[in-house]
Amino acid sequence: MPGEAELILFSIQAALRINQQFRHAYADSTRSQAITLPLPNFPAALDRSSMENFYRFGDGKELAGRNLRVRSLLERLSQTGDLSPEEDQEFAGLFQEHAALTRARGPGLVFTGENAAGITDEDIVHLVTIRQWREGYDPTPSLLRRMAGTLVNIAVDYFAGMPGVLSARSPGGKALRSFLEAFEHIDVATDGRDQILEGLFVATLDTLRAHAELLSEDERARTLVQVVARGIYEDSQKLLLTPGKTLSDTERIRTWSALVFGSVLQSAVTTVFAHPERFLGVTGAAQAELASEVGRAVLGSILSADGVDLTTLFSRESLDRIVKAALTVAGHHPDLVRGNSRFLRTLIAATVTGLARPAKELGQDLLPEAIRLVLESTAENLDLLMPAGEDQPAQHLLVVAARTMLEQLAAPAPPGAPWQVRFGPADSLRIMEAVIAEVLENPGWLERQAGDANPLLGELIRDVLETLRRSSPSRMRKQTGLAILEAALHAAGRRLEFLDKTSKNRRFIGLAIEAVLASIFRPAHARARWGLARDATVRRLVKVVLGSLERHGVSEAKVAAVRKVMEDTVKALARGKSWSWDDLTARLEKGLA
Amino acid sequence: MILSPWKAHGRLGAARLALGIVLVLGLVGCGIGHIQTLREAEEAFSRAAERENRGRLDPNTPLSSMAESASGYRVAAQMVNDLVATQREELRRDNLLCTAYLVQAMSLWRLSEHDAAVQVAAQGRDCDPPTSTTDTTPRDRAVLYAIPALVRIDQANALAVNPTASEAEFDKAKSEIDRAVRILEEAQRMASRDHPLRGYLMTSKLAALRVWQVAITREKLVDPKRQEQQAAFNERARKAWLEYRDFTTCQLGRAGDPSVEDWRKLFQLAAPETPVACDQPPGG
Repeated sequence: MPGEAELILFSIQAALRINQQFRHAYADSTRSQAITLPLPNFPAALDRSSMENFYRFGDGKELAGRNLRVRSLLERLSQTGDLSPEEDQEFAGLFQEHAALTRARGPGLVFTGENAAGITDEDIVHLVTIRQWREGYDPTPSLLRRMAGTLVNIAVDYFAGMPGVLSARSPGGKALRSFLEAFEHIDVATDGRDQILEGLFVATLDTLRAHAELLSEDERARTLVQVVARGIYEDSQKLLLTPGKTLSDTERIRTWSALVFGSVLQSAVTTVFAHPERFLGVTGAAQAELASEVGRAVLGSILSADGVDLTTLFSRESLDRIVKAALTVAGHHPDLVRGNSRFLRTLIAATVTGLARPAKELGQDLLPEAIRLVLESTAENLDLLMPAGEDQPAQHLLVVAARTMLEQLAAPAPPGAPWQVRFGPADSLRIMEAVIAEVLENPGWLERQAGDANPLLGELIRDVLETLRRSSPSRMRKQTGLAILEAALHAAGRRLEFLDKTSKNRRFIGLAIEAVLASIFRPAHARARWGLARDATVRRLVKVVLGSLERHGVSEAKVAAVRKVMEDTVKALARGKSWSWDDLTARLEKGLA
Repeated sequence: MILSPWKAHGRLGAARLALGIVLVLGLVGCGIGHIQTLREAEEAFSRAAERENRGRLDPNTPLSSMAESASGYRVAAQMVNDLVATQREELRRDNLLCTAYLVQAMSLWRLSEHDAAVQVAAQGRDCDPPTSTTDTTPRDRAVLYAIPALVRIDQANALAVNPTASEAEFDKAKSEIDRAVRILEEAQRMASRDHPLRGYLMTSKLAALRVWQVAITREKLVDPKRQEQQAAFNERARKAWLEYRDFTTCQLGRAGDPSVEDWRKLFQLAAPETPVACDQPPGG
């Protein structure tokens, strides 16, 4: 088995060979392409010079000898070189008559066509379209032959250290044969589109190498390779044929076709083949068809995302994760995916569209993982998450929830607020996972209460973030703020009263968090702050307090009691007294009872 | 058996990197831009030529069609001009320089930029790739050789059909036609006996002879020169026509091709006394 360095070296050599062979093939094709050659200028219509030849040397010579008038006109031409208009007309008339007579005497010998006016375009045009070489004598190999040679060379090099892997009877050999069979009847175009084929070929080799063991069930592997390759190829061809494609677009389609194909093959063998129980009722060729639909959906989504260039955001790893998530959806809902990649494609598109605006502020890198999270959660909760129906992916609850959450995270801190932290893609995904867990537990998070601008979820995040920005010192770490937000989500998920408002229009969740933060970060108690203001302590304090309120209920009086316990604890610490988590919990229990 | 995760990860990572390299090097940086440009120029040229050929032979063709042809030739000539200026060596390396010169020279010829066309065709004699190869370009080389002949036919035609008529003008046109026919016959010998290009070159020769035939009338020659020239023309035209008939029948396998009879009809040559006799079966 070659090492990584050797593999990379091989890849470079293979790429250079593919490049060179393709260039040669493309040049051959361009050189031998038929060109229509223009004819030089010449009088193409029958005229007096033709008529004169008819009488002097042609089929009318005998008639001219017998016809005095013709002889006279020919004599005049010989003497003066010209005829008067009347004579010219007479000459043409005589010619028409004699030509018809000659034609009647010898059918097929003089005029064989209807046209008597000269050379016709249809008769001549096909003879001036000329290939470089005569038919069947082109000395250069055809594009397919050139590429086939290169493909064989690459395969030989690729498996040089693994003799037997590609023998005709081995699973790998059969899978590779399936791949080639998939392209056996495809008309090889000569404008460069067929570089897709090489990309797919290398992806097949890659999978065969990496998963030789899994491909031992050769019939399934053969079908998988064939069906997926054909599906991806067809879709990429359609994308390439869309009008207005630039060279960069073409290159992107080629690259991503191969990447998605490789990803689908590898993901399929590690999910579909390795865990068939997850694909209930889907066996044999139907598995391959599902995998193909997934590949087409992912390829289509990545290359056709409206307004967002997903190709710059995806890595091979994130692509693999999305393909696996999409395969999981397909496994759970084969009827939605089979024969119709639109469902997955629309779901991915709706996720991208829904999250694109806030993601612009937070970092678009989060989009691939957001898609994965939505797909993974959808697999087992389709009915719950798509109450408006499977054809309404824009109403997908997780898409709505993620958008709501991201909009709040993306909102800038108010000017002058001490905690000015900005959130990034990783922070957003962390909260998104917490939000998804909450929404799956209780879709009521996305309901809107009277007078609120956002659904409950959005109101909570907005309120907690406002409290954090106002009450936390600038040095508090972002991770601490995120942990507090997660704790707040968790607590409010268990007690809706946290989202109720006081008489002063403040939500209790914000007030409770503020009670903790204000007591810790009060300037007068520097000694107490020294111990309590550690990030880990702050996180735990908020969790403990919210947990106590969860158990004892939420009201203005209870929040006031929390405030008092926290202030007493801080004062005691400032006086140098000891404290413990058990002691604090006991005080809270007592104060809130 | 499923690979253990650590093992799979290392190998997969390397394999993915390898695939990435293949794709990036192999598919992104293909260096085929010059080929693509030439291909587009070829296509623009062919479209213009087809339109012009049809238009020339159809008296009802609107002027706008001829303008479109000219525009197509202009685009093709400019594309190849820029391409040769910037990527001559790449074209030569890929054995495409002859094709590029063909498109450029023929476009310039059709745009009536005769000096430039002949100059480009002369440059085209040096269009072989740097290393010896079996991939010769018989069509391109023969056409480039024939360009001066094609230019001469156009010039002779212009003399023949202009309003003035004089023996001196006829002599000038005839001289161009004689030279053109010689060049075309030499170009024919550059292609194999059954190469379809011979059909084009023969057609061009017939066109040259047609100009000669018309020039005799339009320049108002009188006897004895008129009859001498007509007799000479008839002899040459008959020979050229028989050659064309035999070629289309025996080499192209197109027995009874209507263009053969069209030419005979245009010249008003006497019907042939003998049928076509091929050495080998037609098309063989």
